[in-house]
Amino acid sequence: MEYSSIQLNDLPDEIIFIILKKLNKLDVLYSLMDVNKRLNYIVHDPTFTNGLTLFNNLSCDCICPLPDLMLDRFCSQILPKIGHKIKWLDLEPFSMGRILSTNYPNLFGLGIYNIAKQAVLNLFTDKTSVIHRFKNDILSFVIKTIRTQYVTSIHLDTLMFTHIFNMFTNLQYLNLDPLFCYQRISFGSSPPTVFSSTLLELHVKVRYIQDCLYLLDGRFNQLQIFRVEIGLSSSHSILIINKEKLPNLRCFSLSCHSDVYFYDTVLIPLLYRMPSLEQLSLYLSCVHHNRFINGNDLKENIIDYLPQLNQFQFNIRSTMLLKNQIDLPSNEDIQYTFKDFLNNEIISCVNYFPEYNEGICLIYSYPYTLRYYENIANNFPGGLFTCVYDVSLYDEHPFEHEFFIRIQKSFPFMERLTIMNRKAQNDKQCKKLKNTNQDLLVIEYSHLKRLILNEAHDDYVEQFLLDTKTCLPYGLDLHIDYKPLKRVTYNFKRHVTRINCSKIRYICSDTDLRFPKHFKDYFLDIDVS
Amino acid sequence: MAGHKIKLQSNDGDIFDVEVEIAKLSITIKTMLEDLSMNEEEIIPLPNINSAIFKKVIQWTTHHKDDPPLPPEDDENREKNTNDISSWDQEFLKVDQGTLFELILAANYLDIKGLLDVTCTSVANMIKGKTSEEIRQTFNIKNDFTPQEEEQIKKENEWCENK
Repeated sequence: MEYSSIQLNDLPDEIIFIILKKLNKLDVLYSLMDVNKRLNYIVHDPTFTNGLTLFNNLSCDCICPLPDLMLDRFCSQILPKIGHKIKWLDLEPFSMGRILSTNYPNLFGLGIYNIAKQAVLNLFTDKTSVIHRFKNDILSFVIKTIRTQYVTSIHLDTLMFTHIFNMFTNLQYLNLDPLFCYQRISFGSSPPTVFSSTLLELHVKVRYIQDCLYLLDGRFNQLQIFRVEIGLSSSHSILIINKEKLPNLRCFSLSCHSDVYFYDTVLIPLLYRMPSLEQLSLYLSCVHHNRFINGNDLKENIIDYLPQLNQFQFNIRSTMLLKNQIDLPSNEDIQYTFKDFLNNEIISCVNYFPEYNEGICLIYSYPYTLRYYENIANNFPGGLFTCVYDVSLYDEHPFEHEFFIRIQKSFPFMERLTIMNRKAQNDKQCKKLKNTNQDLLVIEYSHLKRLILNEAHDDYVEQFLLDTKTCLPYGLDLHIDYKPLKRVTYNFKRHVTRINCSKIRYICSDTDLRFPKHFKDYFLDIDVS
Repeated sequence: MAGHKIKLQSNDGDIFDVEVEIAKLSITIKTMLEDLSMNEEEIIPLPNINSAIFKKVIQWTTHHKDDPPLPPEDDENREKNTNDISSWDQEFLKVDQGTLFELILAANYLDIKGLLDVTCTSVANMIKGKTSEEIRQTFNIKNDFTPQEEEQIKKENEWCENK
């Protein structure tokens, strides 16, 4: 082929932008600032200078300061030139002081990531702290806290919250985001005494529903948007429910990561205090002993009381104990209760698990917005879920090959898959598929990074390792006990499982076993931890 | 229809018989065939692409014809990952810079998102971590700052280097 004479500088701006948007803004500014006039003009565009994240992200939510050389170039050459363009800075505690010493006349948003709660207090109480310069400018503040020791100090959370509002007197947006779930904010019985008439939007991860109620006790009387994630269903303390209305609240989102027992007693009364609500999102797993939450329930207890509501997203899983009831609702019964939900497509899925003595009903508005979809059973209604990356499958009936085809099609970007099923497959040979003159489709999981089979029957281990059924991506982490893996791979010598195993990093939790010599060669890599 | 072919003509006159399904990976060609009701017997001209580059484009689309859809666009603040170029694409992109830039222009003109993505990512990788002087050398870019502007930049660099 003849050599072409086209060079980077010959590409139109539009293409240069596409290339640069593949890079972090830091890399763009570090490498292309002051190269030539044209590139200088491009990298000064607000796309690259409006907001900057001045740290490096590592895996597992860890971050680290920029390397010294890079930080020096930013502090001495780059930031002074673009300081007037910067509106938002995301920083980490070690380099924060140096970076904030530059002049940022238009800065209104600040994010501080992976800072210890005690360090937050020092930052705000130290009169010489550089953050005081931005006291009146910061309208938006994001803080991701870490705690270096596993010690819960409710007092610390209360103090931190108080200091934030005392410092940023014009704060309109606050996002309090502890890094780990056990570090969620909690005020115990001594909530902060702060009030704010400027705060419009609050995102917070709290430990208990009580902490959420404290924040909605009228202290933020202009609050319009409130998004809360609750870690635990309830503490032992008594709930004091404020009756005051929240007339300015337009958008409320609540998600709880454990089984919820407060749906009737706390959540419904809380929603009655939000007469102006326009957008509501509820992501819950409710435990009831006598009923599933269905469309009638949502209409009679929520929608009818919120006249302004125009957007209602939900994903509610309700659980019912089976006690020889007759007339248990079917999926059709549940779906029928949504007949008046004309503006939303609602999906329902009902399952009864006699071995667990439990019935589960999942209802959700579509399109689905969560990043995970848990405990999918054989009656999975299908659909396309492009935002879901974490999927788990559970049933008391076997999963056949066709079921896995449906799962792969519905979750094309699935990165993590967990299978919990102890029942052997009925059609291991896929005779049904073959009888209908269909070729046995090899299922390809292009984006899968982690496969968890610790609670799966051997048939599912085989389902995923046989190259005639599944094509696994290179570098996949496989979590499974040693013995079933040994059985399925015929002591790591089986030919038809070799191709997939050669692409797998086996995460082995059995440490006190003697592995055969050829064991390591059978896999891409082995991590015995 | 699998195996059905159309004729595409590069700007240096070469005519290529390309399977419709492969050609339709280009949104530009797909639009020509579907919206403009172009007869499949007609020769479709591609005035912006020479035959050498078009051969490479066909090679790439043939290899990627069964690829799953691309993941949704990265959100603005998400950490950018420029490492996930498949080994086949890495081999495919072992070309001189000029060819790489011509492939980018062709992918942009033909609207082949996957090819545009991977070629732009490849250039992004060449930029990543380099100093401004290394960028000038790597991409043969002339420093067009005036002596006064250059002096100012040097002063700033000295401050940094003396630290």
